[in-house]
Amino acid sequence: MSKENCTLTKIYTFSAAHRLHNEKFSDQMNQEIFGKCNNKNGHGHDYTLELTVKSNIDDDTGMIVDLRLLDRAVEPLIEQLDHKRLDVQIDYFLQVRASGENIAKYIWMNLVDKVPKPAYLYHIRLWETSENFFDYKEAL
Amino acid sequence: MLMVETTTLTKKLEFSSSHRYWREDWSDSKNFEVFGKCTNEYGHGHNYVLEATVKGPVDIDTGMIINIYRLKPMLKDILREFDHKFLNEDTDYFDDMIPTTENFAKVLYECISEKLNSQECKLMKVRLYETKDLFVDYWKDDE
Repeated sequence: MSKENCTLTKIYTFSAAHRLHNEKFSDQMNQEIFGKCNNKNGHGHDYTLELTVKSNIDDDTGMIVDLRLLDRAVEPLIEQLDHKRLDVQIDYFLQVRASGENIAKYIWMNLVDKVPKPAYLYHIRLWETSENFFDYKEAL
Repeated sequence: MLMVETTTLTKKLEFSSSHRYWREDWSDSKNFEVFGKCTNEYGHGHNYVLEATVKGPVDIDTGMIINIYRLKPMLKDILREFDHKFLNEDTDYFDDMIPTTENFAKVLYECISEKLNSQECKLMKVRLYETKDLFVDYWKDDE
């Protein structure tokens, strides 16, 4: 006997600037660790977020989530991040490095309770450029 | 600790179909409420992209899990039933099922799985893109 699994992934984009810097480190050490991401006035990326939710396929609708409700749940967060300087304008990143890893985690923390039920957040992939992406998930 | 190696191969194919979301046992207003513009009477279409991922041992002689020369026509043959068709009317799969991306991925999984049954590899996952910003994954776990 095998159990079926179905996930749905919706892709969103936002553009944001950041600077990777840690006050704890000397300027030289910041340079050494963060390299050109330490540029004083920041730099930006077009981020692509792949948001994956999981549930059973509903018998009546054939869907695991209503896409309109999913968009409505996600859009305020995209709005919050889009065209912002993350490490300056988003409270969370005042203390935590706005790295791809941490942005993925921040997105997870903000959406985990907002995905329309009975679907639940299953996986996040955050593309920072077309060459690197970060995966984040918390197991149930 | 013994490491088990896992290799998968994914074949990607594009095809186009139209569909309509509608339940006869629901009122018009409920259909509009739940399915929105997908209720359009004459259907609407997408350029679907199928990614079929197969898993199996890598053959020592060929270095392959499965020969693409065999896999590709097999998948094309399956898609012939759906390509340039109205899913609701031109196929039998959606008589009792809304042709959502979720259900379509499930149907494709079953079709491919059955065909691959006699082969040396097994279907691991189907990924079906409906648009470039929306896809569904469908797979099965052994219990």
